Amino acid sequence: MSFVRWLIAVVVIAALTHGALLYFGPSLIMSRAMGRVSDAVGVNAMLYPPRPNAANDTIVRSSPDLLYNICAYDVSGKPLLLTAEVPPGTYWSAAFYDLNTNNYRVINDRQATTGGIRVLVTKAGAPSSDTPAGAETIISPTTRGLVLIRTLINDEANLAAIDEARKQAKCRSL
Amino acid sequence: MKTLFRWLSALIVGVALGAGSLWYMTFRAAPPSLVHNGIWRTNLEAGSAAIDAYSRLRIAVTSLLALNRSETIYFEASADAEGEPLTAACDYTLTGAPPEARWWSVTAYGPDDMLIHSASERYSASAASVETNADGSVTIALTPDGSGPNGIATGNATFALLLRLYHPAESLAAAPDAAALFTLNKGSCRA
Repeated sequence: MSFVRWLIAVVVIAALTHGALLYFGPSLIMSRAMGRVSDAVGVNAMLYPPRPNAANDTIVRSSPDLLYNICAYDVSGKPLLLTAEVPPGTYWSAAFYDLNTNNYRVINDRQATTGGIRVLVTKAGAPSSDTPAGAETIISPTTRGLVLIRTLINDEANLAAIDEARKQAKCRSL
Repeated sequence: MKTLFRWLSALIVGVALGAGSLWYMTFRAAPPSLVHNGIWRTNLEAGSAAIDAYSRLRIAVTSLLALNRSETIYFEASADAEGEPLTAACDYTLTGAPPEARWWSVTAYGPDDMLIHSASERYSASAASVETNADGSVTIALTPDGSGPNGIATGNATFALLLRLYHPAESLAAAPDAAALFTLNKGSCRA
């Protein structure tokens, strides 16, 4: 093996490594995060983690001022129905992420004017007749993804009420 | 045997070069969508499908599940005005008018991007928790144990700050590089 061949091999291997990690890295990290959620409650089910602190922190750069709900979904077979109450008087949002880490949709408390949301998450091409009455349909760019609901603890005195309200959020396969 | 060794060495060197160059491009090179404002910097394409591949990987590693710009702007700081890494060996203060947003918070994270252990559990200061000065400005102390006005604990290593602006004012969203954000003042350092 000449030095020139060795050098070409090094360059090719370096380019493949660089490209593969760059291309697949985000979705692998997302899959890992989704795996932690599904290990705890399964796929298409809502996890209600405790308020983040240094002892229970599992997601990078989580906010200790928010309560989170997380639902890892897979709509390859059936769509997902997400329902949630919006606690009054504080910031609230439901953020939808695809497997490539894109935040492809957000619904916040100012947009959820009826006091709650009822959302059907489907894959592209799914029949619209599946949509339950009163539900908004959102098409997920990838069949697997994650919904993250954030509720701001705007006052420590409201913590118990906010915690109770955010636990009304559910997600399930239809 | 000699040929096998050369192939093996090419594999090891190639993987190291590929991973090393990726690390540099991801964590050291400045992507086009990065905006600077004093010590703060923000990637305006966070959470967006339009983001460049290196920024996507960086955010997946350090800020997975960030909201997109329409909802929240995140400013991060990991160095002072002189470019020195923020470290718990020094005390700092953040001062300035509250950012123009529906809600804001400043949170400190350790080298692993996780919340920092401290007995005080002072992880953040926010619009809901800070006491303002007489002139309406805010002072936030950054000390190892979180002591001081509106203190945040910085632990015992290097740390980074994340300034979250939920529903930022239109003027701020339009020109984040010119927005009035907290300024960092470096205090005393310990050996």
